[in-house]
Amino acid sequence: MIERYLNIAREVIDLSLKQGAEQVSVSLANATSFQLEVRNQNIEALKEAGSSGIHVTLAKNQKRSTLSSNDFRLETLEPLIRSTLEALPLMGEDPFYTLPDPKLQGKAEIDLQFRDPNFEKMASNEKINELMLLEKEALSIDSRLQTEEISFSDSISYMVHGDSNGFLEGCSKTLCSLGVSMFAEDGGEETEGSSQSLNTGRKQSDGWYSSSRFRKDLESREDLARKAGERTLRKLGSVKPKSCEVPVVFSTEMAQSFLGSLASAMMGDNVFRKHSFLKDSLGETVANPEIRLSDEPLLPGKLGSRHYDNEGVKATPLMLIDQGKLLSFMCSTYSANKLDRQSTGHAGGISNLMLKPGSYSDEELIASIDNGLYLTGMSGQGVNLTTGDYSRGAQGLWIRKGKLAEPVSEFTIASTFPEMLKGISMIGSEVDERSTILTPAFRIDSMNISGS
Amino acid sequence: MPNPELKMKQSSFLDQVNGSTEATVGKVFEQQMGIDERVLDRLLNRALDQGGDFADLFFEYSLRHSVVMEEGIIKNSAVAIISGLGVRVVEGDQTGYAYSEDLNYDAMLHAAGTASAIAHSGQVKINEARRFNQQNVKNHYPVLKTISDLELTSKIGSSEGVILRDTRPMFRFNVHSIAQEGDQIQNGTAGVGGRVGLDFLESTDHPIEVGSKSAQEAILLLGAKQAPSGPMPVLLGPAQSGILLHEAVGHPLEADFNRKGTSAYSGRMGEKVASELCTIYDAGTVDHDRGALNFDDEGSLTGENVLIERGTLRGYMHDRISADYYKLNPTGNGRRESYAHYPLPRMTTTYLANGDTDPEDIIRSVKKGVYCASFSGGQVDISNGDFVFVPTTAWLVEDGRFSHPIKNFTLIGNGPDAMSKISMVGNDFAISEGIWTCGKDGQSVPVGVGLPTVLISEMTVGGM
Repeated sequence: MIERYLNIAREVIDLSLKQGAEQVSVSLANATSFQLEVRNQNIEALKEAGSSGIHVTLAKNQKRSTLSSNDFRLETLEPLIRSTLEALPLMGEDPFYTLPDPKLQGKAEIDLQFRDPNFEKMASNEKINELMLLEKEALSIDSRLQTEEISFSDSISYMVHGDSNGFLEGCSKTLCSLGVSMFAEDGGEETEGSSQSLNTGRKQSDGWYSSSRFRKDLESREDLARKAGERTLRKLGSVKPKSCEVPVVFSTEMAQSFLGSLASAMMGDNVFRKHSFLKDSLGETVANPEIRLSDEPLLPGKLGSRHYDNEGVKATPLMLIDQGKLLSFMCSTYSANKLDRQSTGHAGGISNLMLKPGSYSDEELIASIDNGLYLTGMSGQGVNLTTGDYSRGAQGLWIRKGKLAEPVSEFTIASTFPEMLKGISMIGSEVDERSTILTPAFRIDSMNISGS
Repeated sequence: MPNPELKMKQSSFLDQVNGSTEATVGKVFEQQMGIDERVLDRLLNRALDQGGDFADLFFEYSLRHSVVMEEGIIKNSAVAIISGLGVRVVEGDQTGYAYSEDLNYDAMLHAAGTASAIAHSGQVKINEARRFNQQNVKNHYPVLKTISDLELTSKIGSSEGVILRDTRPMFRFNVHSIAQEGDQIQNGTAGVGGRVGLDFLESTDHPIEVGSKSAQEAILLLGAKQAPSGPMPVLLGPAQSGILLHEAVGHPLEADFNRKGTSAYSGRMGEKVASELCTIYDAGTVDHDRGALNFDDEGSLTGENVLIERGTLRGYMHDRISADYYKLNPTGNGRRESYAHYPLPRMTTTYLANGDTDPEDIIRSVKKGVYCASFSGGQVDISNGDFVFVPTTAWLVEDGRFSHPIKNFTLIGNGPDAMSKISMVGNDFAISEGIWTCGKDGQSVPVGVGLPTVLISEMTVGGM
């Protein structure tokens, strides 16, 4: 597969140059995936398919256009390339668009363990059986639990990137996931002043999933079922908290969400467009001195690892924030040209964004708070990277005297990125490996809660 | 603004899909690809040869153009061509699905075979030659000039012998602005669009209006103060505030959640779930709206469906599977993102019927509250009914008057609770500009919303 794609990339580059393009870059991808959903010991859906795409950028005289197609045949691509090149003179001249500096391109020399050697060894029937058992296990935890969905998916993907600089590389990756989503009726405790009487059908749902390049690294059936069950049941009887200002512990998943937004504000594309509250902060202290944030592309087996970025720039670790000081933005070739810097190998975004773990267990983070919030869910688009404002719908568990107490929902949390970054005073030690954002939970000293 | 020469140049890609819907789809699939009734028949037979109640084939050929202008130059233009076939086999509430982007016969037959694996009991008798009925439907989005950022051409053939063809234009024009004053920077964004052609942009002042609106929003926000915090009356301006309906009642009334029992509205048909001032519809028949569909993505005709009538729950939005489960007719809400996805119950254009109060009187009635005019989006938790939506332009209202613009907040409420607190409904109903995209289970589809001015007597405002 990779060989075939490398050949197509070569042919497309040659053809484009022959037709008059000065710079060409080509990306091809193919993924074969299998998805299965089970509910009430019944297969709800079984989906199997392969999909692919080619993406070509053509440039001449500092003008560029892109084309993409899911049909790789040269007889389809040839007229598309020709008409795209014909239309190029109509574009504006953009001196900042260039291919990467060839000296920065290349493949990092390391085995990143992209591919499970046993990937093809599990039959559909086994996957179905596993889900049936997983559902039974989850339902056996508590009689109040019902199934929303039990799911399995796996995929194998192939990617090739090449350009007219002469860069041409390919790789293949496997990925598999198991997920459990449960729900339970929530009679709820009638709270004063709220008109919950109309909401007689209230339920709570939650779940857990495991995701890994290697099937053997997926969490056990027992762990998945137990976590999904616990997370669903702990939401029952949730109440709306009073408006106040309190410390908040961001669970690992919420920490991922927060750091994901922060990473966007460090992307060169947002910086040169002035869409980032950090645009003028390079070299300044922007966070608590405890904070050390880096992008780590070369971690074997981790989901965001890569040998090179989407433009073929060789991947290297990059320190973003050290001792609270902002040291670098993440740049693609274009944003680097705009900001008069060098590409950091971030065409396509972060690889593995890593917050250096601290020494506290989640229990110790919670125990440090007399009255506050353990945040387990956020919703809505209330993140403004330009201004740094942060206001999100929230749910979680209230912390009373250092212990988790009643579940809370239907409120918002608000602050700003600068305040939050400076307020991260305690960092946990347990990292959630299921994401390209590798972070433990952390405590933020004060946030505004808007509730009843 | 894109220059006219560029438009003409790009339209050359579109020559192959110009013309009427029937002729267009016929040309792409039948003439160019050789997918005729015999092929449909064989593929359907293969899909059902393990059994199953129903099978359908969804062919798609789509062409998307986009042009980006930034810093005064046309920076990039992109064209994308996507084609493929999705094969679905349904048995009871089980779905087998496979797709192929390769539209040669063997690849399509392989996909049909893969989808058939779900079924194990033969309920459909395979005849040697299925007779197809070519169904013609009313076109809710005829287009004069077909250059747009998305051209979706679909054709559905089902085991029940129905063939439907559609050409679905989609156009979107967006402007993002930033305004700076001293250290302070604010964004503004505005857009228009719908199932329209380029004539839409040419025949009006839309580009200028959108540009001004986007710039004005950014400038307004430069002078905005922090929003208040806590429960208070919330005024929702016309059109865009329809997001409230989309999140608070729309998603929870999609029938798959109710079939599975996970929605806060499950099993509550005929019960009071909103204020008596609320009559809410979902309709795929709003001409040229972003949510419009002549028929849905499994071939059911769209219509104007009542969801809530004077506060009482009257209906869910169905796809075939949920309609079969509830023994009802499909409502035309079975939608999919593309051939690579199976249909799910989804909204089309969701709106609240007009009331009879002058919007000025509604604003005057509020002692202290917030007025929201435009939004960046929303989200809902189906099971407990909690939803958020995020205003971009809003004002504090004091003693019945706009006091000053406010920023940086989220509104949070609970579906049935918020809907019961709708205490006034204006007579200024409007459908939002066609800018909304709805995500569910990893599938994105274009949708519309509409609403007159509404007062919610109390809702939590999440400011600082």
